[in-house]
Amino acid sequence: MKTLKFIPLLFTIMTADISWSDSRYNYISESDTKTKQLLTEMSKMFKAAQVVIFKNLPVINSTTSNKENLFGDNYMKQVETTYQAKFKESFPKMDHLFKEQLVASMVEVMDENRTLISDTDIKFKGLIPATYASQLSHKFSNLGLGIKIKFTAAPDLLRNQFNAPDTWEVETISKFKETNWTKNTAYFDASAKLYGKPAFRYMTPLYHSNMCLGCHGVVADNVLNKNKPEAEWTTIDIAGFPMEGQLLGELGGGISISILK
Amino acid sequence: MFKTTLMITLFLLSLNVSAYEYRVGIMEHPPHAVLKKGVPEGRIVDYIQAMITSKGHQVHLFSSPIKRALTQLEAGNLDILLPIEASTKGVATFTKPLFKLVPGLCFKKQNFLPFLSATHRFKGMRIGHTDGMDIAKTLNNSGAKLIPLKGKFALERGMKMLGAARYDAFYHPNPIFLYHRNNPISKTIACSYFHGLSSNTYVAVSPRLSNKNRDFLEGTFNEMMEKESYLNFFNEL
Repeated sequence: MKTLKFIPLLFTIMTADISWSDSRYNYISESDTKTKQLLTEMSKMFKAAQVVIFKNLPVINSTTSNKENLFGDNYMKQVETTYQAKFKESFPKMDHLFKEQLVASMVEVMDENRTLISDTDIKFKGLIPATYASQLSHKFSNLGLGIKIKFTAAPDLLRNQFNAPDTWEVETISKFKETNWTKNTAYFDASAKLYGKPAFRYMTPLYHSNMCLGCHGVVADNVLNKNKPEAEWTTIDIAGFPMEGQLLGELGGGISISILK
Repeated sequence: MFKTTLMITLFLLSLNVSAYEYRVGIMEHPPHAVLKKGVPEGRIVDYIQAMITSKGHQVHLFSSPIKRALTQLEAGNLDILLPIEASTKGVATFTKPLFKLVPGLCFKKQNFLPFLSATHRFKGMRIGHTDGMDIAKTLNNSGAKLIPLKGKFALERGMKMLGAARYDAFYHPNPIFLYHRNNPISKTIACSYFHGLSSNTYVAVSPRLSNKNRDFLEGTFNEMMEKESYLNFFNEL
């Protein structure tokens, strides 16, 4: 029954161009409020999936654990539970193609990392919340559905050039930094542009939590410095980047979602 | 008894009548599809055959160079053609990609670098790559010593040279199909990816295929991918 709902949508995108920016799938917005709600839900789903990665870091990096909870339905159950716990609300209904495809992409990203996750020789796999977010963004944005997710940050904090913010995102991050901006409030723009085309754009700020500080925090947060005398501490994090010295609760970046009109 | 036999025979005959022979073009795309004495073989062939025959239809395989194959597809002499890269212009494809192409770097496990965004770490590294291949911009500007490898089977030779420590890393156009649990080489090497440079491969469809057959094929493809993605199928070697 659930599939039936998507038949008209699937029919529309059957001939979708493979380049997302030229997608022939036309998103139809019932209202700006509904679009904002859809984007809010997707943004929360994205965050919940990142938290699941953080919670599972010991399992991911283990060379002996059973990893089956990281894949398929088991993984999605964790995302749903985390979503409910984090946002105190039910996991969104799969009543839109975008949400359905986001869930499918979450599972596929884990599948694509299966070999690395299962590698019994590598102790640090490098699958952390940030890299998962980056992979998920690229995968989902390449589906040709006219929707793009970007896990991005201000230019001075950006580590991966493939996630570089565009002008709209830089301006939005600046808004988040303003003293009168209410913390944790997303910014929605129903009359924005993307590559010169009309688009809905939405960005939710991300503030540093404990899961971020191991790399982006101060030297004492560096996971590489654990159980080492202070004289041996390093400011280079486990990814090989100099730590930014950010503090708990400081703005780190944002999740940006754009839908072509 | 006679009546029952007749009914079964008529039923089977009706099935046979509705069976269709799909003309499937396969592009050589190692390790997914290779030509052996002109006959396409490989996991892509297995996958597409399993998909179509599971519904009681038949597959006739063809293989030819890309330009000719696209002409045949356009003319309706092929029903579908795969795998087709995202950059191929002017062809209609199934919406869902068959698999993703993500370039990356392979390392001996003891030298594994999981984050390729940390490009400063490439400085001074000897990174091999097959000659003439587009190297990710990020590598060109990293200060790494890029070493082109010429001649046939450069990828395979490159991986051997990596194993022999002649390189610190080797650039691969799509290591996900090299670094997987069933490939013995994965006991000694591991690969990381440039996810920002990913692109998809698709199943192209003839514009002359009837809507009914097209819908059937795309529906069956989606069903098959949901049940078991091509990536997982490939890894189950």
